[in-house]
Amino acid sequence: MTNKPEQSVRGGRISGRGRIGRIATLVLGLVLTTGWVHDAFAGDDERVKRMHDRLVGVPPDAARLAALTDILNNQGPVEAALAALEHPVFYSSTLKNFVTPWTNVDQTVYAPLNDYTATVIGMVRDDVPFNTVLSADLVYRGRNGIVPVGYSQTNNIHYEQLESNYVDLSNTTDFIGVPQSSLPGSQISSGDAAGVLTTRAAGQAYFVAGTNRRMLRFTAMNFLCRDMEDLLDTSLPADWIRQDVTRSPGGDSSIFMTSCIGCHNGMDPMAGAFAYFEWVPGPANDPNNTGRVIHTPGQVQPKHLINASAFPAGYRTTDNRWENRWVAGQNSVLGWPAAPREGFGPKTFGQAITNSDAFATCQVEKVFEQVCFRPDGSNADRAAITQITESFIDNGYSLKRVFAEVAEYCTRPDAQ
Amino acid sequence: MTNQKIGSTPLEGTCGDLTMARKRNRFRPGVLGTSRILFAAISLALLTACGDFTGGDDPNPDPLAGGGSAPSGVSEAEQIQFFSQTLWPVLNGNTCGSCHSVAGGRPFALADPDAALAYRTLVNNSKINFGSPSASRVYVQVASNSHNCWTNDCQADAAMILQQINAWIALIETAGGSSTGGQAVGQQGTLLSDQVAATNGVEDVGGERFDTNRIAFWRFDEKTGTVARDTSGVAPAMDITLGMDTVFMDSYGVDFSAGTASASTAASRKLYDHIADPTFGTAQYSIEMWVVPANTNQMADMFRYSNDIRVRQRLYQYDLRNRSTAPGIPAGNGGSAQLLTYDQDRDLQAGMQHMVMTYDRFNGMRIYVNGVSTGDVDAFTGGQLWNWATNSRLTLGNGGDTGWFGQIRMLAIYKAALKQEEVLQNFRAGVGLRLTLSFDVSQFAGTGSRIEMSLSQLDDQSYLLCQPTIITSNVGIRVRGVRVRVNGTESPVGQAFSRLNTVVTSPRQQISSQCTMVENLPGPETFQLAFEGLGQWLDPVTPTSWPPIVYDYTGAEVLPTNGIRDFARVNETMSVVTNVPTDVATVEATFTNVMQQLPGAADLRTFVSSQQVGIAKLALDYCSELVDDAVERDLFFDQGPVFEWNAAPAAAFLNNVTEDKRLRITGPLVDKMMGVGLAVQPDPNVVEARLLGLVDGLVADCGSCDGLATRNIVKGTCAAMLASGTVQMH
Repeated sequence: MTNKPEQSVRGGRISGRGRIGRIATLVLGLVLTTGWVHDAFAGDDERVKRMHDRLVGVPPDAARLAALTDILNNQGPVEAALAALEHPVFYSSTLKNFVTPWTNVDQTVYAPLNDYTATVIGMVRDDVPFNTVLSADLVYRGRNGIVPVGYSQTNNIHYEQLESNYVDLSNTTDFIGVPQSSLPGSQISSGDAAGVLTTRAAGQAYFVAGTNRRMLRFTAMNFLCRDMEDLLDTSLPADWIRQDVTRSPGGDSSIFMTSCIGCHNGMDPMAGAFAYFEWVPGPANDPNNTGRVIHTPGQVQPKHLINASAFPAGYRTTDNRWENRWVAGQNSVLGWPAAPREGFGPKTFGQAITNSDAFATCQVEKVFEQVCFRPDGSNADRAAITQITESFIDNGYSLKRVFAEVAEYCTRPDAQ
Repeated sequence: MTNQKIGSTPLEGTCGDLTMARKRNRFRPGVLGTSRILFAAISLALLTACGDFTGGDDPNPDPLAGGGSAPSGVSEAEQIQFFSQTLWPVLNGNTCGSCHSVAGGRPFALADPDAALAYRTLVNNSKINFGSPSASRVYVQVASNSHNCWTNDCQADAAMILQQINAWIALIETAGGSSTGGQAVGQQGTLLSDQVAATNGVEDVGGERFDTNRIAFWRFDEKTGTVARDTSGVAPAMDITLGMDTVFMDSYGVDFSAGTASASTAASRKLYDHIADPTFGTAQYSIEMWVVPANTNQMADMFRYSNDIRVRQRLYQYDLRNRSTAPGIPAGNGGSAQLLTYDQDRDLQAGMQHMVMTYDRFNGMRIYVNGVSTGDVDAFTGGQLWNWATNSRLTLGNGGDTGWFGQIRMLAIYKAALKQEEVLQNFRAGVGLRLTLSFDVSQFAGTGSRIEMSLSQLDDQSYLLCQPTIITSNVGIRVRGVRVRVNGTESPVGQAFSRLNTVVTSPRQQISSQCTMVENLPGPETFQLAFEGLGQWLDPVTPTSWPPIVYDYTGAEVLPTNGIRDFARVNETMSVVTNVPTDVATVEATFTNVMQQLPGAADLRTFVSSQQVGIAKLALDYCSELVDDAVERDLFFDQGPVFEWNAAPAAAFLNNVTEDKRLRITGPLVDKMMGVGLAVQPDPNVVEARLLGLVDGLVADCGSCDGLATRNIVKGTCAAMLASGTVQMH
């Protein structure tokens, strides 16, 4: 081999079949046999490493490990975890991939950064009370000039460039929060802005086609940790079920009475909040996906009125009024706030969701699964979630602190 | 006027003592002024000829005692007065009047200086919702649509409007006697109408149908037997005989379970004679059906006149075929679709639909669904119908393996192509049996008070009770929370009127435009209405309290407490430990390529070997960049004795009794990638021994290699460590 030019191992190619096989065997062997030897009596260093791994996703180097261990010893594990969260990779990787599945129907993590994801990342970084995530007049973007293309209502290029250019999302100068209503071309007033609900990415995912009920369903999934099957309650009145829902599917109304009604009786009154919203797609096969959200105050979008002949005696949408019917029935246990229980548009709707007990618990449960790599599985886990939820509320809905407190719990020597 | 005098009116005997005892609770001097009491008393005396309205409170009212009435109604003059005291000053006193007045010239003079005009404009145009004030259009326009707010705070302006609407309602209610709070009816569940049997309903023939040129008509109202009568009155009657797997429905119609129903060939000749006969035929026709496809998964005939006309279901599409002499038409018309509704429109749905197919020479076929043209165009026009067979036969449904499942609730055939307005008229006329039920509520709402509802059978499982309308002379009373009972039982499901909450403002008032569904129980049904509030009486439903969520972890699966790094963490971790930036072109390209091959989540149970291959591939790139960069590799490896990067493997990895040069590579790899002194990591000696074994093997394989091979061995050893579980699990 002495006369061979230097062979690259880039792209996974290395010369010699036997060597590849040897390396692969070793890799797998290390995974299977020596991958993890947990010491139940691990010390502070081990705990800090584990916290850092869980929160940031990368191991700390020796200096950082020592610094965080020092914080742990002097200020406690929660403070050490909070310090670990200052790592930029927490924002660009952990948080980005934590939020991305919320922003698309497929719930895939393999999607580029967008204004929805960016806004959650920014809110966590800046400790913006997370119970405003569905009601704030706020969106995060890069500072002017940080990437070639600025924010646009009609494409996602700005955010894709933030990601591809590895802009540091932990940098408060380069990555900033601004009012949605101030964005160029915005059709959203400050009174209409509803946090991530009125971002472009949310519109693209949940206002496109359909009847805008999708926005309600995915809001419940992402922020109440409940899909419609979980919320199904046939005991609620049927007066706000829209005209497009047939009451006798296939000529058998018992299907409606035992199934359809259970979701629509709660969903349709809530989804009224989105009556003025629509996603207008760009041209077919447009690589830049130039669609945008439109908002037409005072004008109900046709999608809320389609197929009215399916049941003309059903509810006809006339404005963006919404009402929370789940305050009664089995879903009353979700702990709804006393107000708002009805309103107009997505802002008050978002406030109703994010001030419920279920919202607070859901955020903690999501973080728990993210940091602990598993859902709650014991009474001790549930007690921890309850305690952290109370802390979440008491600390101004700081989601950053939730990450830290969950990490504190999951890295306890007795909690593994 | 004294109590005795009222009680001595000539009609006193119609009420009785118990009634009077109950009525003594209606007015309390502490609540209403004397003049109001006198007014109410006089009015009621005239209306109901019943006695004493001035007595004290009865601690045990008996609302079921019979007779009696609510107090006096509210005249329009009073209502205008209340409006003038509440909402009107807000509307007229601010910017609304600039436009919404006679002088302003805009529609709806609801803020006109003439309060009476403004009042009538508001009420007659439904700008006020007395049952749900926050749904009032006059409020919504400001609260939701920021319509010409008069201050900079639209919500404050809207709140002012809402406050005054509520004040207005309170005045109406007070005048009507159903003041806030009301009077508990006593025993729960007793604020009821009388019971009405379905058989006591008055048949509502519905809207007038357009039936000119109708030559065949089936209502399918037989309910029993096997023959559906053609009631068009056009001879000969084309009666249809039901075959296997077809039954009449109680709610009128025929239910098909892959069965067929057909007319005789002789009777079916009527269609040919009226439509296709070259001498007498009109050469145009219409097929009108109320149809309920059972699903959208089937492709089968719903209606067929042999091969001359076919109406088929094709999933979500209507598939229409008409035999004619038009050129290019599919052969025999029994095969290919001729007019297929646009698939994306999904015009056919698995619910009750009104479908009309028309044909005439100039337009070919057209189709209307629920009164509206689908807009689909027939490509084959201009044909005559002279090629129709004289022995064609009308068949409904489709038997066999490709049978059609669904219901046909009505069928009509015309010898003319119906026009759009005629189709719409017939759609609006509806289908099936409809009755008007009248529920007596005079016991609580005053003499003569009743609630009428339209009863129809939606299908064999349910009834629809629609558009409740209250008829009462006691304007101003409130109706709240109406629920329907069937045979004395109240279903917890549906109950579309249970949130009804409205103030009656006219003697005959529709209190909902909606319908509620109730179950069709076996045997004869009686219906009854239950109220949460009616007039001044209250019978609230106690909300069900739900226990808190219980988390039960019994038998919960024990899950891994460690995880594999996901794709982003794999990439970031490799970058952090090798100090090779993620944006180096080679690693960036490889990461992009293998990203979705890498783990998508931390769950160890989902880890598969292909993910490990992706991790190894990326690790090799990071290690290549590290080793090929002289500065970075020195920083990583050469902090002690310097490794001989250009020496042949045997020399570079020399291991003898005096020195072990292999450790210059394996030592930094273990320490920097795994961490030092971490009890949670594997034993570093074990890991390093594995790496040394790898190095030895590669060196032995190499034979007479040069420095290039040395660096490649380092890259491979580095990748083995970087891609291993010690780094990638956490």
